[in-house]
Amino acid sequence: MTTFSLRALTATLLAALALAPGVASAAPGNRSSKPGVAQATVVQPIRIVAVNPLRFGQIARPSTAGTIVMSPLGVRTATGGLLPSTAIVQTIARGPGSFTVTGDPNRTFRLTLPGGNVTLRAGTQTLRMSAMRSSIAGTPRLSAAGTYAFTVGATLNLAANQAIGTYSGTYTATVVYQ
Amino acid sequence: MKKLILASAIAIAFASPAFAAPGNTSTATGTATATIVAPITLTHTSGAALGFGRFTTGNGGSVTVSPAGAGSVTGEVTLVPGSTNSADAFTVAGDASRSFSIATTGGTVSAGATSMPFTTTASAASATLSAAGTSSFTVGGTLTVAGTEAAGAYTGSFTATVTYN
Repeated sequence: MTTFSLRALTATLLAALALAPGVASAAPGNRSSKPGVAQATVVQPIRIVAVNPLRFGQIARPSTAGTIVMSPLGVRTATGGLLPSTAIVQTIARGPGSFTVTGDPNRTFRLTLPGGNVTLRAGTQTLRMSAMRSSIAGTPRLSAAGTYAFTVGATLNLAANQAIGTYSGTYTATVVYQ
Repeated sequence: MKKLILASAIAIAFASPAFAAPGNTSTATGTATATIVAPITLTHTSGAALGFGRFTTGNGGSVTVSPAGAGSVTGEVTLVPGSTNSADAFTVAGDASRSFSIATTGGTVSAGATSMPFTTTASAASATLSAAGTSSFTVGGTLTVAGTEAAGAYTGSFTATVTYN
């Protein structure tokens, strides 16, 4: 009979443990535990990839110095009477440079382009590129899919009778999470 | 136990910047290109001229010289025996294999106060520079004769322009 009662009590206690495990933990009395909070958010690293070169295209050699501006949207303007020089038929496409950025969705970042001159070269001949700017207005923010695309333009500074040749050069575009 | 914790802390301190740097920033190298091509230049062939020849006017008409240099007349204009006609000639230099357009104006030939108007026709409206960057074309024209012009040697000029397409 007594044995039966103890078994019943054990069953009751087990039921209580199942319903309130917290009470059971506290039972020893000399220790107290509370759940703490630990958080770590691993975000996608930011990554920038160059897509298209900044292509000023083919320009007939000018007899006077002047500049050609390729806007980030690909609109060309010229000074120093160079517009006819750029109006010639292009055998390859010209246009602004383009990049894509990938990373943490909805996160803002900052773009840095060269602030000074970039030298394009054709053998020993040089051609100065300046005033680089991007299509970004305000603070760029990665999309909900974690992507962002932008374009880059610059000013090309031609000397009078700039030497004939195919000029190329490189520049760096750096993005940093804000 | 204390030593163990310290070791962990050091590991974290060193590990954190190493993780942050690659993920927080990224750099790409962009390329910029531009091609400067030879300008187009037009040169008049020395000694060449658009020659309408020697003719009598009658009561007027016209003299036409084809771009190939062949002469023909209309109306009462008559080329005299021994008269020769010629087309004018030009050479072009520039960027290899690039096409260009040719434009020529009309003009007048005059002798003293008397003048006769003419129009011109180039051998082509457009052409393509050779692989060596050269080309050429000729120019013919039509001279209008009123029939009242005095005898004499009439001269004038016109302008030819080539433009890269």
